[in-house]
Amino acid sequence: MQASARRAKAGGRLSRLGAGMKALVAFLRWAPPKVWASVAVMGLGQMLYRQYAKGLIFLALEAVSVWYFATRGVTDLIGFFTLGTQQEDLWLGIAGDNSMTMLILGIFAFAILGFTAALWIAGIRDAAFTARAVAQGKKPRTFRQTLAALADEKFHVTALCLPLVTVVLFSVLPILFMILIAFTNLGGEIVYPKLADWSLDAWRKLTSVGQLGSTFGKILSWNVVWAISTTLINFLGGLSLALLLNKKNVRFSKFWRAFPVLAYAIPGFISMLGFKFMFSQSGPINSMLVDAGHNSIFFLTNDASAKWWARGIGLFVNAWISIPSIMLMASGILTNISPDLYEASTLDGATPFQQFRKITLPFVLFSTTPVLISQFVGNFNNFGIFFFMRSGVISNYGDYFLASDTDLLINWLYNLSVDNNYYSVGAAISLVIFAITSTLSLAVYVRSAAYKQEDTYQ
Amino acid sequence: MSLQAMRKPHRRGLTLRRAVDNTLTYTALVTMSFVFLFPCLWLILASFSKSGSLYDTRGFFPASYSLQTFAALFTDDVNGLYPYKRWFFNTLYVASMSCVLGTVLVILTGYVMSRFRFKGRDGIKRLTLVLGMFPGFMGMTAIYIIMAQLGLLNQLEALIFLYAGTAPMGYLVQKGYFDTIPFTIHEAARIDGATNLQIFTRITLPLSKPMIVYTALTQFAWPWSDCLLPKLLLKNREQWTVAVGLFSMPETHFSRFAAGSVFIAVPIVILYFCLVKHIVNGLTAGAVKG
Amino acid sequence: MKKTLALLLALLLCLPSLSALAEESEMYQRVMARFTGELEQGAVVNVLENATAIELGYAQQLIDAFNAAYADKGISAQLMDIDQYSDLATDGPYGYGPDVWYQANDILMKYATQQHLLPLPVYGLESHALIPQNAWDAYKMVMYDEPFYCGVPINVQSGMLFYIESMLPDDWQTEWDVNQNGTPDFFETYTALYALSRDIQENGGKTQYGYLDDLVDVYFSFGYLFTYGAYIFGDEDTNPEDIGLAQGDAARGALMLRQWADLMNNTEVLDKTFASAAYAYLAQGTMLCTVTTPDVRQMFVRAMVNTGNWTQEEAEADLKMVNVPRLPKSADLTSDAWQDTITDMEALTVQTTMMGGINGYGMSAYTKCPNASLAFIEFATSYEQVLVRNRMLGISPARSDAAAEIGQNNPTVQMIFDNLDNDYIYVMPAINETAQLWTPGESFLIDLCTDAFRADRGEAELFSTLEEVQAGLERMVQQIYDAIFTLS
Repeated sequence: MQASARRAKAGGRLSRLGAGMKALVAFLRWAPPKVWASVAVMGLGQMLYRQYAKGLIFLALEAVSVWYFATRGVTDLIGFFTLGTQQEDLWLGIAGDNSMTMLILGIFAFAILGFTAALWIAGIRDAAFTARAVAQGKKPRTFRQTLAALADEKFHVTALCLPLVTVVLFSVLPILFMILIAFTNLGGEIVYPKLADWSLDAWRKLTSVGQLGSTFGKILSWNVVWAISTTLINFLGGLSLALLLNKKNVRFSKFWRAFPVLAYAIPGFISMLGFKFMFSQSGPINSMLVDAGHNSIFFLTNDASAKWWARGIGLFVNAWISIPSIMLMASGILTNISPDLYEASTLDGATPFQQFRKITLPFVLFSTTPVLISQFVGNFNNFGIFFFMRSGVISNYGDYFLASDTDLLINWLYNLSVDNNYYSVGAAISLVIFAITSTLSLAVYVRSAAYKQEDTYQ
Repeated sequence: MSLQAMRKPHRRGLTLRRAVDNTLTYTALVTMSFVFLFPCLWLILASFSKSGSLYDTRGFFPASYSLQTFAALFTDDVNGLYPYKRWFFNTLYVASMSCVLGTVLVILTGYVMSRFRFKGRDGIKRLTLVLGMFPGFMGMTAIYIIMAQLGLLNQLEALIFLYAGTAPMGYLVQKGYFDTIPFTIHEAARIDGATNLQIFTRITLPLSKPMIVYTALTQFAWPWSDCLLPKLLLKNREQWTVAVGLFSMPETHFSRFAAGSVFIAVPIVILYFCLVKHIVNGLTAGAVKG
Repeated sequence: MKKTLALLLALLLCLPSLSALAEESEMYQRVMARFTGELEQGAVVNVLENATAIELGYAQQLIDAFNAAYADKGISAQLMDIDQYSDLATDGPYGYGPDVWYQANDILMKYATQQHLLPLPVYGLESHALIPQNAWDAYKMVMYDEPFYCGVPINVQSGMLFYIESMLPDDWQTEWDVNQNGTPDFFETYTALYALSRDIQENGGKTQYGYLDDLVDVYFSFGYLFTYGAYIFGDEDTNPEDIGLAQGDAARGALMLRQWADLMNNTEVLDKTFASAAYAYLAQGTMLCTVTTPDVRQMFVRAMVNTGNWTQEEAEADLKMVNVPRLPKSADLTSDAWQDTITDMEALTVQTTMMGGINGYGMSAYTKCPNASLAFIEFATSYEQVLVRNRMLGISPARSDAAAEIGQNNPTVQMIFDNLDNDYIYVMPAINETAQLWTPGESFLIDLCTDAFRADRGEAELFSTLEEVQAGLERMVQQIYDAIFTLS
């Protein structure tokens, strides 16, 4: 972006802020007393306009909020900053605080605070809306009309209300919690009943040169290699499978398609555990090798020679699990390609390979960029494969700290934070993972045609 | 191929080419089906193995077969250690409830995000994109505490709320599908005086059956086979889902594990086979319009 | 008869500890204040037993017996049906988890440091004097500068040698009983076992291998280090800063594991899953003997019955369990003639120190009924119940009176008890840093034993000399140290 453009954008932001301020001042000057009543007590303005049902709902919500903050909300807000002041002694029966719970409840209290504020503003705006309508000589809306509006012009608000609440509660809140944990000293020895505090220790440890840093570097580089190669393998595998089944000379293609669909339908963890048994030292493959007079192969042990075997098996098993879904998707997309394109190119003398390169691949790639990105992110954070197949192994050579040479960052994260309770370091690492995956994929995504065309397509 | 045909080459050359092509194609097909079928077959046969352990035979397949592990799976819970029947119904309950609630939430979200332009829409779009980038289970500690505060630990409902409640995060596929339904239909209905709710229930939903089926299937399949969340939230064995139970079985109960796995995989495999057309449509819709 | 005697003895031994009560500090009394002795009326004690005890029906028997005995005292107990590895630290604060929990000492003690497990008034228990001090030490924790005990020992877990009698070589009485003591020599010293194994592998026999085992299991293989002077943590296993696994002649002991791996020449032993394969392998005659803990005895029996060659009773009688053989003083399995190690046993061999654990009952700090829970623990650790536990599960008691009683018919049980008493069992340390031992330890063992196969595969050997093994051990110690201290 040009510097001048950036300045202009910043200036635009500033002037927008100024305009907002002006509008607010104008609103405050204009606001009639009944609107002010809603500012003072939620729902009061509505009731003055004889919208009793609506007013009562607002009032009830305010009452709930006040009751919440009076009974525990304020304490929770304070707890968010202190993270506990009295340590519990379970043996002597001295009650105390639990830092982790306090952190969560603190975030929750902030969320309720924000929700109450949003409700308050909505109440004022609603009162102002009614005031304007009355000024224009209309009647205030009846409750029935309000309900009808929720089913019609405000349908999106009604519809998104529940999903938003659940996503905030079960997705946003936990992730906020995790982000904040990275800035505390929670973990290791400092877990309940010990009290935690805000600190930057985790980041200091992560950036300090030493074992942690070197393991991080090694795992990160393998993680990137893994994510790229497994995404490529799965994509190309799925695509070629779809092309294979799409061939004109394939009879009973539905029958052939059943095999990959079978693999797709089997729950992932069953397949992974099955493959683990298959490749173990006492497993069928090795016992057959030995019976045939060969050396057995160290597939999944922690011998240095197992490094690439295990990585290869990981790639294979992931392909086995993921290729079918890509195949199904690709076969759907292939039917969308207009047959005219092929006809025309055939007339121009294109070979099948040229057709693939010039028509099929660009078309499929174009349509699947978002899917490829989400596949990439999913593979970057593919926890299951090496958790199910190689847990309990750490590499003895090459200085891996609490990790094996096949572990991805997410597995290492699990070892650190779940197995060993190093919460804050784990959270810091997951922020780093987030930074990497989001930068990479947002960059690609924003540039992708699918995103740019979003609103012009229709 | 048709290019060759246009030049009208010798008949023999054509048949030879076709024969080679056919051979290669079918070799590839057979190899592919072997690679996908064999591990499944192995697990299935192991579940019919007569002895209880994976290590009783060398090589891939058991020496003798019997139905006794399947019978034992349902009749003998080893003094309450492996109550498979309970696990199965728990899983069924969690998966179907999450499926119903989750489908409603995702379809609503996808529809609104596709059809409405409102303040905050871009914000929501970006937020879900960003949330999706976080490594999933780091939030698990928090989820545990939240569920404890809500008094939902050890309750199957906790899982249902979680699966259904976080489902709207993956609304993009559904939005992609709704994007393909022409706006003109809606505009015509609007002119006839239909409200947005009516348009959604009377026009959009009947047009979106394939998408609903696909959504329901994915919302069902995930809880059906997830292992980490139930392991975190369910305490009593009686409350476990099949995935947790299978995970807790030691290698000495391998054939029980295999039988349990096969039994849990069968319904989902059947569903997938019946609905494969919808899956293709769903996957494609999600891909074509992200 | 024996029982009354034992009780009398117990009472006598209790006297000094009774006097110790008077000296108990104010802190001790404050901590123990909740144990008033008054049973909480109507309390239901939630008991978490291990999976094997549930599977084999002992757990239900115990609950039934307790409920019958305490029916008129207003308390009862019930089995919890949660996973045997409950996480008390996360579940306890939210009101889940057991009141009373049976587990190995290292698992229980992991929760003691953070006070999730309660210290018990052990001096007042009937079993206190009957259980050796080193079993109690497995549950010792120092808090407020005083020792507390957070569990009551029940049974000793340690590696034992399992074999099937009818699978012994036909000529063992003539060829393999030099000292004519009726015990096959190859179960007396590892040198002889090595010789027999080589003989079987080279010349064939009833079984395919002699001794076969997963050499990579820390629990069983670290005995080779302990026997030659290694230790886990310094200051009697309380100081995690001092990790002693490379101390003494540990490297020489470790080199013997490599010798075994060389001889076995079987890569299955490099994988911990071998432990589960072992049941079938012993029954099918793949190997003559293997080392594992007594509590899995029934798994062998089941595998034997599965082959169709034994009935349940025959299998029970044919399966034998003995002390692990003695290790050579030379720390070399091939340097002495095996016959010499038998005839000159004292001079040429040393008793093997095995790693072991003390399983017992602990009490959750979140229990609402400490007195009823204590009553349950006393009941479950009583003489009668320990005998039943032994009968149904084959455990080796930590109580001297029970060990003596069972030992009359089952010498192994007495042997294990004596091993514990004489410090030939290295009990897993009671500090929670022990948790960091396993993964680095196993990784080292896998690396070490894999070395036996490297030359054949055209790879460079990593552990052919003592110095290299020593360096490997030190690397492992460093890994354990790092796992404990890097992030704390």
